[in-house]
Amino acid sequence: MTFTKALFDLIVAGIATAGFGLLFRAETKSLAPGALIGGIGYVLYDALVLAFGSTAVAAFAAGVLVGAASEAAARAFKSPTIVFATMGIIPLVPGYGLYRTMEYVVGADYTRALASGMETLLVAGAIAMSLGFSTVIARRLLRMARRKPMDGRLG
Amino acid sequence: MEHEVETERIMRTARLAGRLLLENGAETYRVEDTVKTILEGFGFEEVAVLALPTGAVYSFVDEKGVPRSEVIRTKARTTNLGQVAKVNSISRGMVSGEIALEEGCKSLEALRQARPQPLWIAMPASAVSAAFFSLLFGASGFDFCIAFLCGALTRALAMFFREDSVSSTMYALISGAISAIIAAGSVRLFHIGNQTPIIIGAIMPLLPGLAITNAIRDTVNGDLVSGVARTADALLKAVAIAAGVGAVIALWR
Repeated sequence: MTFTKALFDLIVAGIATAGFGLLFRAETKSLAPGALIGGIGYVLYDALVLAFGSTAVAAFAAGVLVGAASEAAARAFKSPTIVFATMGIIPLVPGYGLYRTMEYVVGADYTRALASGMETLLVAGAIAMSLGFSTVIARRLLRMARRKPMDGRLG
Repeated sequence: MEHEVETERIMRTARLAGRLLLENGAETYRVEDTVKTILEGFGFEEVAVLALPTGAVYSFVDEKGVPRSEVIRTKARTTNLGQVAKVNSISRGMVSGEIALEEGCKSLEALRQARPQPLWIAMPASAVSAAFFSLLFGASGFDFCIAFLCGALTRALAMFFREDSVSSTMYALISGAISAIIAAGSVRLFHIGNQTPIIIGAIMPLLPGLAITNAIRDTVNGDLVSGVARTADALLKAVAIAAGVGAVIALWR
């Protein structure tokens, strides 16, 4: 994976994400950060797929990054986390897997359809797990940061 | 009597905020939290709120010790991230005292009257999104243009569908089919390009991104009923899109 490819991915995925955000009526101030999160998430996903060959692992790692960045952006830009998370995960959503699965089903190649369908579900599950994971961690950290000055304990 | 007027106004504000959040695609805990914070912020006790993707109920004990409750039922569900953010900041402002109750209620009313997104924004947004997603899946210049066209047309089509659940599933099915017809048709007509990146690009903006995000966040929060319901919603939409595309490809090989 070259630098040029990463830059191309970042820009293209970013613009696609911004279009998606605009379509679902995110506020103008949230569009740029949302697009950046989507772009970076996709670059990481692509790099990890090339490095390890597992789409589910790549989607999980990229999802954790997107989730954490969305929690941070929500606090920085004073907007709900879902605004950024919804935009950020859309490039990771397995549209390609869905299409491939459907193509195999149409061609009555059920063995490949099953394999492709499993992978698609696995990627969707990995995204779900990763977003949940980063939400829980972010909340835990926030609670710790809030409680600390009051009684000095780790909560 | 004066108390009664005040109570009515607070209930009206809570109801409006809850309804707006439900209809525009907020997570379950945000709906419950917002309604609860408004009612508690104005001094009511024993506030309990239960929100589901299709409605909400709340109850509290008023200043005379009389229990009161109300049901909010919603049918239309759209995705409007900006509205969610605005309701969120208005209700926070009201509870912290920065915004007066009356003023907050008026702002919520104004949000409820907000007009649907005009086509001249929605069509280019969808078109750009579809076209750039197709690039990620290896589209050529020709494919890029056709995906752009698909994105614009599927969004224009949305005008003919209402926002309840039957219509939105039909919309997913039909817009998947139309994207596939345009992609397969143009590739055969001009003998260049590849229909795969066009179709994938065109279906990406149709995929239920918010339903997936909310399904996860609801489940993690322990709102299990909403989590399962939203997962079903997201799967149904994805299957409807795939079925629409699949039917066209199967018939036109």
